[in-house]
Amino acid sequence: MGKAEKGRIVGAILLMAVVGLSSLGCSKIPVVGKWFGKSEEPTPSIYPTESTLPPPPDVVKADKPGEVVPVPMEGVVEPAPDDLGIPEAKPMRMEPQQTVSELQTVFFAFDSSELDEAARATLDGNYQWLSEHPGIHVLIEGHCDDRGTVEYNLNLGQRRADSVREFLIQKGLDPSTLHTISYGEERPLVEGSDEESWAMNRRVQFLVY
Amino acid sequence: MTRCSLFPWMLLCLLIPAVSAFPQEQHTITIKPTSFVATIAIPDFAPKNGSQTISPGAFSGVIYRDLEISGFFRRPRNQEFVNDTHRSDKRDGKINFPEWNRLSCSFVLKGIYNLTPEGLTAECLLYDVKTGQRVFGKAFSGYTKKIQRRLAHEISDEIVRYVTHEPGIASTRIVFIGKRGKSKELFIMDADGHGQTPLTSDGNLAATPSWGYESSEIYYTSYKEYNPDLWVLRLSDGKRGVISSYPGFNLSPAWCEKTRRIALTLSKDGNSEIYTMDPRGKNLKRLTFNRAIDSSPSWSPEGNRMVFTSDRSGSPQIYLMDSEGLNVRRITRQGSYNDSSVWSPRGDKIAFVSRQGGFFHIFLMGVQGGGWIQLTSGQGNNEDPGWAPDGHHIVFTSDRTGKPQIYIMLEDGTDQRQLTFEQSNQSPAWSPFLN
Repeated sequence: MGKAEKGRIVGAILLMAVVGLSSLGCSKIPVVGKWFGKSEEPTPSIYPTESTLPPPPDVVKADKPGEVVPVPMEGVVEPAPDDLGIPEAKPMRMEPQQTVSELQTVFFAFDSSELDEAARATLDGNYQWLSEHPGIHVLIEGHCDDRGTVEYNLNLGQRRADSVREFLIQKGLDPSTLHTISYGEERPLVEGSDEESWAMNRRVQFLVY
Repeated sequence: MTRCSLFPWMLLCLLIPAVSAFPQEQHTITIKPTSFVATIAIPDFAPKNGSQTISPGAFSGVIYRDLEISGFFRRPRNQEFVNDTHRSDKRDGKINFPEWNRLSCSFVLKGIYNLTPEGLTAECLLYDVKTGQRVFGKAFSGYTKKIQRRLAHEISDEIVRYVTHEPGIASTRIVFIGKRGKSKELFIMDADGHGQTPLTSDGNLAATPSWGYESSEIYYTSYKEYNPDLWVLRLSDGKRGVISSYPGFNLSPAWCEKTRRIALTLSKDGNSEIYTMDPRGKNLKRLTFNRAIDSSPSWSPEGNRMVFTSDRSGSPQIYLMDSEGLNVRRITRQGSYNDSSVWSPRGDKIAFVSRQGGFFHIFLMGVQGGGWIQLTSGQGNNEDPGWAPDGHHIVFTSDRTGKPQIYIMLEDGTDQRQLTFEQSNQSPAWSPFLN
């Protein structure tokens, strides 16, 4: 056998080895027929169960299923206070009792939390009543129309409520009695997808505790 | 080319249009779907001798649908022909590959099940028609009649994995917010829309759910305690607790399994900012510091970066920053309203929402913001995109039928399927792989 022929045979063998190895890597299928008679271990349930999971950090211990156990906030690292806005008042954690006819709703332009003249006039009236009833806690609810994403509208509703709260604080009301909440587009006053309905939903309304 | 090496190429065909649409110029284009889909025949599963019976299409129906959703398979036109051919196979004691080929089937899956008081098991054989080879044989056990669908989903995932070398999503689940009457509750369903079950019944408002720690718990915002607080619900037993109850809102949690931290939006410091915390609300770290709205964070798969929405430029746009809040960069440069960005689990693209022509639509873009591809079009608003763990499917909300409902689609915008039909449903979050 000549050198060239030998070389070609070696080359062919190498090529076959390479192809063989690469097709080996490609083949992920089990050897056919082997599964018969070989009992597989039971497939573990694909949905996590208590026994297969390590416990999550700080397991919330409750006595009854569904019971609410608030996690204490110790150990929270508070960022340094800054002057980028007036901090929120502590939430009241209860259902506000009622509406008061003297505390009127203010409305907003699309995608805006600015108080226009009409809004300021309304809020002046609201301030009057509130200053005559010191110590009453108020819930200022911010709402949006349903255009825009759910999260953005929750933000916008909060901005509207904050805008109104800031206005009332500047007029002299006690910040700790003015609570805000945003419902975004979640609690429309009016169901409808037209200009009129949208305008009615872009609002801040007042409730008292 | 052998069958097993064909599918990676087919996958490439799916991806190439997307990849080539990421030049540095940013024009909006729509991609055409891939045309390579294999027909798989699944005769109705038969009961083993002595087994109790289940309805004939119980397995084939679920597996067909899972495989169609995967985007890689279609079912034959006529299931009667499939069952007839299977019966003649049994009569002849062999697989009539030419007959299956005549029905244009590339694969045949044959299965039997055994339902006894001890439980439900199944055995399957998958055949490649062109080569006349058995591709795999597998036994499945550990199920009961009640969770028969889960067994079918496991079979579907095995088929997708063996044939395409891609993981299947048939066993994954989606949590979402369902409006029932005046309240909005947390719900869960399978990825095929089946088994929609409420997880809460608080008669209040719930929002922005996210899958959490090892997929065993869900983080979500609830107004149950008269403030939008961040709650945790443990899936195994429904136990719940409050993680974060700062004044203002505690919203849009995003869990990162790599860093084991939740990114979320808090407004306690005067306006909406992004923070991270551990799964029980401790070790809070603030990431954004400006007067604008900063919200809706989404982690990169490695956990070292995030995309989020900020209106610091005057309108909502998508920004990129690292997970310490540094190196903030704006990445959307067109459109007046871009929001709800979510990072693909494959790390290579961002799905997000952009308002175009008065309606919200879902788009894809590269991580640096280049090469927009529009996935939804027409009437209605399409929002809340979320990625399936395979990085090939997207779940989203659309109100094209009048009320918001949950849809899934392939990442090229094709095969849009409505999964919910009752009242209204939104804010979906797709689980990681659960098996």
